[in-house]
Amino acid sequence: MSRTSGLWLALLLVACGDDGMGGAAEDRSGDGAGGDACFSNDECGNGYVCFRNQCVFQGGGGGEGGGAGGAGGAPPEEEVETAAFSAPAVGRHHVWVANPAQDAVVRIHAGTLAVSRVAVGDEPTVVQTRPGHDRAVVLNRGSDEVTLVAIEGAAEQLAFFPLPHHFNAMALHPAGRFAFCWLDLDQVRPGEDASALQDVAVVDLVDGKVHPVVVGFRPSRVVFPSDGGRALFVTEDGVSIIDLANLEQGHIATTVPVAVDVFAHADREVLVTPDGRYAVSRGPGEPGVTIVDLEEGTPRLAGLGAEPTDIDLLPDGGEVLVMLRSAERAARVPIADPASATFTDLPGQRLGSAAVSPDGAVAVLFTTVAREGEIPRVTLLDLATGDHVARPVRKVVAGVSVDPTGRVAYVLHAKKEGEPDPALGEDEFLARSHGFSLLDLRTAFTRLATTAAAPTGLTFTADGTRALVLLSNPARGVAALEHLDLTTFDVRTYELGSPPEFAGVVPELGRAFVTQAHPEGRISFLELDAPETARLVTVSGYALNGRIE
Amino acid sequence: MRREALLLLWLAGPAWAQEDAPAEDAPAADAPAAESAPVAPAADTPAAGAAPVAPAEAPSTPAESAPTPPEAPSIPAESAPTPPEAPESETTEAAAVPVADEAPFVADWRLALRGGASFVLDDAFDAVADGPTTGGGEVGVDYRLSDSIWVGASWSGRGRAGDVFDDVQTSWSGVSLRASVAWRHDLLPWLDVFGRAGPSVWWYDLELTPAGGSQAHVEASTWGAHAGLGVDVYFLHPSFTDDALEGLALGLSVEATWDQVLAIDVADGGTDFGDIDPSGPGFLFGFALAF
Amino acid sequence: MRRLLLGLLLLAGCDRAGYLDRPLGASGPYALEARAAWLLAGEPAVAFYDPVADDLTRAALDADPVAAVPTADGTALLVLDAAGGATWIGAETRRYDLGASFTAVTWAPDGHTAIVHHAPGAASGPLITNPNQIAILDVARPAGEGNPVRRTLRSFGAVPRSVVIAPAARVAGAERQLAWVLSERYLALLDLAAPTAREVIVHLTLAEDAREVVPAQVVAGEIEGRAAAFVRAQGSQDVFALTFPDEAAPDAVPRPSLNLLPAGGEPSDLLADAERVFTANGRAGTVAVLDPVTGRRRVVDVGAPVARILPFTAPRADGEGEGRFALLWAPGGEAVVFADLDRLELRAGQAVTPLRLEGRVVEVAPLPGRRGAAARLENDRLVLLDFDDRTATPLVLAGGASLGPMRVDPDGDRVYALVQGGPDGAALVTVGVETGAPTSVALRSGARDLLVLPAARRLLIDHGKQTGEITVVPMGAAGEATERSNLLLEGMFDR
Repeated sequence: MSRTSGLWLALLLVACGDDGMGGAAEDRSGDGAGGDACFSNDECGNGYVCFRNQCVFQGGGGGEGGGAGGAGGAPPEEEVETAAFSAPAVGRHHVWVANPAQDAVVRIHAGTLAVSRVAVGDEPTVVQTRPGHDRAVVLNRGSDEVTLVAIEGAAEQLAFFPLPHHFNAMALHPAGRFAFCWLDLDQVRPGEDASALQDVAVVDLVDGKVHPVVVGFRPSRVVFPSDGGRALFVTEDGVSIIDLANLEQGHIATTVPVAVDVFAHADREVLVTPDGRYAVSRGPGEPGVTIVDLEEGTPRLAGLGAEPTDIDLLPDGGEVLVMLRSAERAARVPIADPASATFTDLPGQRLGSAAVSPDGAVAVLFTTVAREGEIPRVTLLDLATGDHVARPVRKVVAGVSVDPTGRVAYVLHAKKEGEPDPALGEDEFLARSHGFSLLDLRTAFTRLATTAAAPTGLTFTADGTRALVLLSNPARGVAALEHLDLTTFDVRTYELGSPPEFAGVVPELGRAFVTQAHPEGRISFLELDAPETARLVTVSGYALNGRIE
Repeated sequence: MRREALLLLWLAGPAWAQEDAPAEDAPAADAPAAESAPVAPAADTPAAGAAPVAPAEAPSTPAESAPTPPEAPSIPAESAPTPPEAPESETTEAAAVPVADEAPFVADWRLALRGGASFVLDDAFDAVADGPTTGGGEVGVDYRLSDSIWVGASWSGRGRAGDVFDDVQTSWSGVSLRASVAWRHDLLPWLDVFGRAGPSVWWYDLELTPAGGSQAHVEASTWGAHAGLGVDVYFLHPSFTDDALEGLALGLSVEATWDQVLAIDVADGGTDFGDIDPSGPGFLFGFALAF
Repeated sequence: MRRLLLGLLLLAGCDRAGYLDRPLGASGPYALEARAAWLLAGEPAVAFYDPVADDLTRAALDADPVAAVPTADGTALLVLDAAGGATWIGAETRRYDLGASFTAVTWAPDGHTAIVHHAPGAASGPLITNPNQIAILDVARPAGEGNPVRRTLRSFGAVPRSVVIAPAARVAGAERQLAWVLSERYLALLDLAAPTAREVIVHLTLAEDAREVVPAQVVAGEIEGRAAAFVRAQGSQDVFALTFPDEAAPDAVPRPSLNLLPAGGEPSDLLADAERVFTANGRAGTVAVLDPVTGRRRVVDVGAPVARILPFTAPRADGEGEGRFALLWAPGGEAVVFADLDRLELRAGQAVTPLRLEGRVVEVAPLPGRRGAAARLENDRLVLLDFDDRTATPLVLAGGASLGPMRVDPDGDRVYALVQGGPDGAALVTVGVETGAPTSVALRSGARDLLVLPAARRLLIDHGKQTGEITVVPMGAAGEATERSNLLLEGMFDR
């Protein structure tokens, strides 16, 4: 067997689930060598540990190794957010797409593919909907107004709300009554009015009033606590609190600092608990996390002995998982009582990032820093027991997302510079390839899929059985939608007519959609219920439908 | 009707012309009866300058010997010509210079060489040319059978070139051989009136030459009849001079004619262009030589 | 006397009928089913020649003719005149006032409905015209209220290029006959069943798009059982699929939805069936199979430029019943390609069979009732194509001879062609399709065009003369040719 064909065989084995390490192929379905139910390590074979009631092979040094603990000076973790911001908005049956060139939004019925064009203000750039409702709120960047579009029978009813300043970002309150507009400095175009650096406009879509509010510097995002009565803007001055029950004309929102040092508010990662009670943050050089009770207002540093490289809130909001890469440990810090933080040592594993499953059962720990000679890995941490198992992956990790049910993790890999060439050897070939892996969080089975272009636009279905990923490389003519069956780990590719832009799901109709770059607009729909026979139905030129008169 | 109007005009023309024409054009009918002034020929004929003799200069002649100038022959307005009744005259033609003691000149033969025009009355001829006129001529010989009855034969030709549909050139020609019986009466020794009629046979030739196309060439023959009324005026006559111009008279002859021909079918190359009836009036004018 | 004669001559020359002084102005001949027709602009009139009776008749026109179009069944002629009227000459003659001097006619498949419009670039009588004016005419009914219907279409700055009329069908819940008026960058959709209803304009580009996208072809089809139309446009690499709603008011034009199907190149021809749309992509040498539902495209390299699709059905070699096939070719191409349309999407290259010809194709004429076609090549060869055997039988002319117009017998038994410059000069060549045996008969020079008069079972060769010079040849009896010269002057003296 030649070297090249051997390499292809290796790849094939990888694609089919053979991890190629340690000899015996790992069977996802489970055998004594992995996948068997267990309650303790004793019930598993040599080299296996019982992780989350499954025997998972760890070998002799699988959990160890990888070099000495990192000291300061290691490059920072740069986690790629794989959950893309979908510019189209999904209503009950329709997908709404902003069409800035035509000063309109287009709504496409996901079932019948009927296309309707609604003329709104000048240069609409952001459209938001309440899931399950056929109402859309549109930010018109050119005319500085918000348009509310409601479907009444076969026609649309429009309402326009002028804004006090120029904004380019908008979020819709989950209850649907308020829209929040602000200026995202990262999206400002050259020559655009960027004066509203501390302004937010709260649009009451019911009574039509627009309430200008001054917040902290450079609001970056808004969080809506579960009580629904407030909006919390994360700014570089702290968290600005907008009380929706007491909107007054021209008021200044209370801004709570999130850092002990008032000069240390830039470059912080700030998380807000779902109930909106606390804000947790980390900053450069701080050997712990800063927790502030937003009602009380005093930030306090919870020292953890090392600089956190990543923080993730657990779903219940009561704890935060902190990665201490340099200390080779992870910490679980109760927000209300940070002194009772618990630590999990990860000797020999310099993991600086984490992704927590939505059910809070397991966290996937990884690092985005590539180290020469070190095999990329992920570590699964059972958040209930503290047990952890390590799994090698074929490529350096760029980011991890966990499906809504917490069964499968999507691991996005980084690509090394250069063209993938099998002649360079397996490792170099893989390093130079785009790709992702699917990781079963119960059995730790991993499936690598190389792709022709960088995967983007990850979208999970609500039931966690499927995911969508977009591939786009116009220079190489790559335009595809990858359908990932998270149950069977089957990856199915659908060619697209144009480079994809955004993907999403219309839950009511069981269809996924992907918008594509096309001068006249292009969107494809995929039936999710029967993937083996699913057709990708494409509507192209939907913008032209607005020019049928 | 258009062609009938033309014919009427043609017939009435001489009457109008008589009023307008200079004295030398006046027909003999207007001359004083006692005078024997010769009928002046057409003003443009060579004899015009030689003929005028003032009545006052005319030698007197016995009234009874002076010929009564006959009425100028009138051509009926009807299209069908019939030879008019020749006025009776018991007198012989009077010579301008009578030679009382010479025998009057009586010619037995007459040659005529004349040209003229004829008019095709059939509207179908519009497809040949933009007018009904054809030009032609005739050469004929007559022989006296008796004092007034002559027989003759003549060869006539006529033709017209034109165009139709702007770029189809046409060429129409016909020749005929005629036999005729003529009645002739000497009003004066040098002035004869005559009428003739007879059968004729015609050979027609029509060419249609479209620009860039195939020429159509049709030849057809047909029968017909002809008739005419005319006047011979001899400007050289033995009665004018005592020189030895014996037995020879030379003069001018004018005749109004009518040809009636059976219509001819024009067809060539499988294409039937239709029928043309070339019948119609005409006139001849030229020289006559009697001997 | 001289004055008198001159007066007569002048009188004699002024009354000739005016048309005799105008050029004949003959245009044509136009081939009808059993006759040939010429327009005589000088008279004005239409001359009909019956080759069986060898008879020329004339029908007078009220004004100078501008254009003439035979009906689809070839039994009548519609003549447009400069006075804004149209004269239908068939079993009877009817004149319609169109309200404008038009220059083009497009017949509906029903054979009696037509849209009269302006041909782009045609010179017409009036100094100024509105090219967006049309008239909808039904020649089966006399002129009267509502016949014709005169309209001016909404325009967006362009001039209509052509008109396409689809067969009558049930669309959007009613029986309709849709017509498309093609202009640069947009289409106007009409319903001839509701001729006064406001047209629907379908723009093919966005307002800010400066591309020249000119619709060139409209093909009726269906998508998942719903009526649809597919539009091919120059300047676009997409096929525009227009689908109609399930219901629309019968007295209104249904408003379609538009979907773009990427064709993988700029298509030159379009074919649609119940499930797929096929495009021939010209010089790209590819054929695209488009799924109008999913928009999915499969581009197949066929190995030769293909710009025309000639479909046919044939039994499958594997015995699986009848299949859909096509002959693909391109003007100027040196090959034809046989394609299995049913298998093209799945088998790609295995479903195409190119066939190289020794010469560049000028035209291909299908043989009626046969699975074959006749092709004319630039090197003056005639080629018989057999679709079943996938063969090409060339017929070679003698040196110096050049091949002219080619026609096919209505029964598909023979192919006829004019030849110039051969040993006999001009000649008519007849080739039996079954035997491939050619025969020729000499013609007089100047043979310019060859017309087939199916009902008369005659061929008519026009020699291009203004006064009408033709040769009539019975089909299958070339030796019995008859010649007529100056045909259009027939009876000139009788009128």
